[in-house]
Amino acid sequence: MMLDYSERLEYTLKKAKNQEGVAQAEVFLGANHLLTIRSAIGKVLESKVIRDAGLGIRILTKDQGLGFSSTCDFSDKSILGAIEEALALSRYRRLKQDYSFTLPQSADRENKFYDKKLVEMIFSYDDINEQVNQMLQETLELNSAIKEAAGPTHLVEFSKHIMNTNGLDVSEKGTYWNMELLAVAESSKDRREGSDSSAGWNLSEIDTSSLSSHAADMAIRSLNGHKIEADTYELILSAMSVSTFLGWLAYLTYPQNQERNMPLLRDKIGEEIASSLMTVGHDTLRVPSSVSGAYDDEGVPTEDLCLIENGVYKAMPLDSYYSTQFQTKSNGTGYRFQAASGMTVYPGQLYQSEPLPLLPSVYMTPGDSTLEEMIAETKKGVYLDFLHYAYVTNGGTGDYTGILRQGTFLIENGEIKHPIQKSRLLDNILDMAKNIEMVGPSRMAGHWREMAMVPPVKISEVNITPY
Amino acid sequence: MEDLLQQVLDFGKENEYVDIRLEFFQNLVIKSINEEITKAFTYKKSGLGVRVLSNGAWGFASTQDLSINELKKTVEIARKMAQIESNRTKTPIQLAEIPIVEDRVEVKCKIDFREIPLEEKIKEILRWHNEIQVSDNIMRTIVDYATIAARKFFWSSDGTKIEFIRPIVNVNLGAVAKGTSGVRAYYQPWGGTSPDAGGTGGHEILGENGDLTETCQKTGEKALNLANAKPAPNLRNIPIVFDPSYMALLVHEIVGHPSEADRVLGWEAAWAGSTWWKGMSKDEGNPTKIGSEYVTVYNDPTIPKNFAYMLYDDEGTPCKRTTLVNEGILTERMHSRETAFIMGVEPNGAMRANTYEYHPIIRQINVYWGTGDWQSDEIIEDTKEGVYLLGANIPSIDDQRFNWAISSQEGFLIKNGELTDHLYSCTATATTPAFLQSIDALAKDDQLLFWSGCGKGDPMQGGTVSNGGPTMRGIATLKGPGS
Repeated sequence: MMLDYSERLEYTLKKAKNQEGVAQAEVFLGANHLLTIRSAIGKVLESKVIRDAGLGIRILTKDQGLGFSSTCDFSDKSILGAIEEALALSRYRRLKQDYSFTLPQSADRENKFYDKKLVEMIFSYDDINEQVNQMLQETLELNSAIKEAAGPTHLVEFSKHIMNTNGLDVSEKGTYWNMELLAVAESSKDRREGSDSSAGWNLSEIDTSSLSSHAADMAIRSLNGHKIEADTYELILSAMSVSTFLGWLAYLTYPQNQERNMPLLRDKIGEEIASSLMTVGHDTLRVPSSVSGAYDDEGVPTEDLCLIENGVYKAMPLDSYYSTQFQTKSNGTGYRFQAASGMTVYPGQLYQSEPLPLLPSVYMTPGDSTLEEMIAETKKGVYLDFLHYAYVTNGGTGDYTGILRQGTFLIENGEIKHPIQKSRLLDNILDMAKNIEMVGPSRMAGHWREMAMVPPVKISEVNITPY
Repeated sequence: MEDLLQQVLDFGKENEYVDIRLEFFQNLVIKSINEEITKAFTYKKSGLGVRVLSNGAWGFASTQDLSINELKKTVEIARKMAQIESNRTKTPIQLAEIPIVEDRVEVKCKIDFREIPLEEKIKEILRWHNEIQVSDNIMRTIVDYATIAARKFFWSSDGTKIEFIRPIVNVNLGAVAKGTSGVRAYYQPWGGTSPDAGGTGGHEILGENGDLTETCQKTGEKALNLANAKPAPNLRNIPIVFDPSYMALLVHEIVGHPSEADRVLGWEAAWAGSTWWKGMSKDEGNPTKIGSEYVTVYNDPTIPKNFAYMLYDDEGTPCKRTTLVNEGILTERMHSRETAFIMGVEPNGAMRANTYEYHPIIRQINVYWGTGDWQSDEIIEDTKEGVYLLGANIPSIDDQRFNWAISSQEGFLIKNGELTDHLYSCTATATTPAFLQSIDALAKDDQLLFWSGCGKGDPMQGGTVSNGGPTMRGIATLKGPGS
């Protein structure tokens, strides 16, 4: 169970607002318990627990100076030191618009995602270790061609508490799990992988059998692939691949990226940027994440935010700072888990970073096509189960490339013809979004913290080249 | 402090092996656009990570709470995980021997950033903006400044006791300009395009004794020129000359990562992937030629000023220069004590955790390409038709590092040994074995570059690394938006 730090928050706020020149103050508590079980070559390699808690303190001065500092030491001395540093920094960061920390607002939605059993399992450990070992064993026993099984499992208990001098006092807690599995199949002349992943708030949602069977099936079916010709193909992306694709599209909507090296969607709100079949939103109470809640990290109620509606770019994520720049209101997407210099990110609430507009719970609305219908509608195309290491390599033009790593099949005249070897996709992210012509049913999918609620899609033309 | 460390070690003394990392960080980050400070924050962080080996299985736990009761609990959590796992493991973990060391390493600053008043730092940042603004056509100037003051204690039950004090400074510069080709950015997403961007040391390691004037002006000029450049064409299998800053990312991706022994053993398969040259190194008893004579690559954490400078890794193993590839032949891997034992070699000091919160992982630290005997100009002059790429941008790499694509900040067409059209949006791609065999020219002009964008591990550890190399020529395909 998390400790109660309320007294420390009240102390921080009281001391901060008594500083000369301070107009407003805000204190954010982030606390996490994270268990990671990392397995490879059919066994658990490492088990690790991170327990972390700390305070992020923001000061707004009467002349609109904004400063931030954080500490994980809850002593009076350390808290007073952090207040002093935030105040010192505020002298050099003057805001041009009138800014305020969040005013108290009640969320009309409830966060019900706290699973006591998951929390117990982090520290009892034996049961989840057994479950992971069983999943690895089951995967290896599914077929004699399966030679390896691997993947990380995360269990997270997270909590946050935000108070400010406007009277805001919001606290929330939650749980989250994420499981990924990779299976490796071998034949006499080939070695291929398959994988699957899932995530949720409650342990009861874990279905290791489904992960095992999908990963193993994809690995075996992919064996003995043919080399593909460099050409333009119709492309069916699985839900897992769409999560990667959508992750980048969401990244391009961030105002902090648009003003730096990713200006592709800058000033394009209201423009058609994708197929009319593409509707994308963000909702932390709809899509499980390790920061899910009824409030964002500034205490603003979260909402079901529409980012792209029927292909039209409708909104960007906005925290209190960027919404002030754009002279509008925050849309409840101020989060703190972006890496700060020299520090990194693990699942859960982070306190050492100022809020930024971020989208941890992206979804794409499902369509009415089935995967079978997409395949049947494909004349010359490729099915892709896992798009690996895909990046927008130029944030101004949208050049997009990635590896067709797992579960890649050639489709001809409505039928899967044979597996194909790993290949490279070289195209443009907006061209791909505009060429979406069929959309299927949604599910949670993704790799490397790009979990999203997404459907498979069919894209009419994509450039693919062999190695 | 020593009492505290000893007490924690004593809590775990009944185990086969215990090591602890007690770390303290004091960091400052300032981000700015167009002379306006957009983010400014400090953070203090401290805590302890404990790794327990019990009956051949690992357990790890970390905490930021340094009270004795909490530390005892942390050791207990790690011990419990190790013992539960040890009941199931069929192949107990064994560690290669390393020397027992007692040492204190402190990197001294000539100009200590901790002693520079905040006001002066801000004044300097604003001046850098002004220097980048070389024309009215510069629409945005970007300066990000960060410093880290880190202090670490590593103690192990073997008797090793190391203290390491390390200052780090890092600056990223960028400019967005408008011109005949539209709006173009010249940016250093990972600080990788300038050797002046920072590293381990004081303020003096930025530019010329702390003065970044020339680098700032160059950043503005580069953006301005790019805004008048042409879109890169598509050219299949052509000679491409890579400048040292492109080489930094290239060597990182196609030689550094696949030389990490955990990838070789398949331990990273579910995350970043494995490596196509598994079983082909001298370490594995089968030295194999994987490239031309111009392919010689080292890892050396001990080179001063490099971003991830260290003399001991996070297992207490002394670091040293490791030859990963020698004239095209695969030689050594980067190892932990565990992988060194498995492969029957000596550990070479490549285990690193980003902070106390994380379990250490094998990670390239300062991987760089060896030099050749050409002048960089000679390589251009010797190229009849080709492309010259400068400044690494964004990579996309195959999970076995068998195929790669990396975009550059800028490029030039080469015709009859001369640079002609200036190009934007260039991405080079190739299959690694064919590319390594195709390298036929290597210059003397190596540079060591600093960047902070390496991601590895689960949970992800975004570590700081250095990489570098000289100007080099090889065969690859150029992809761009042009015809």
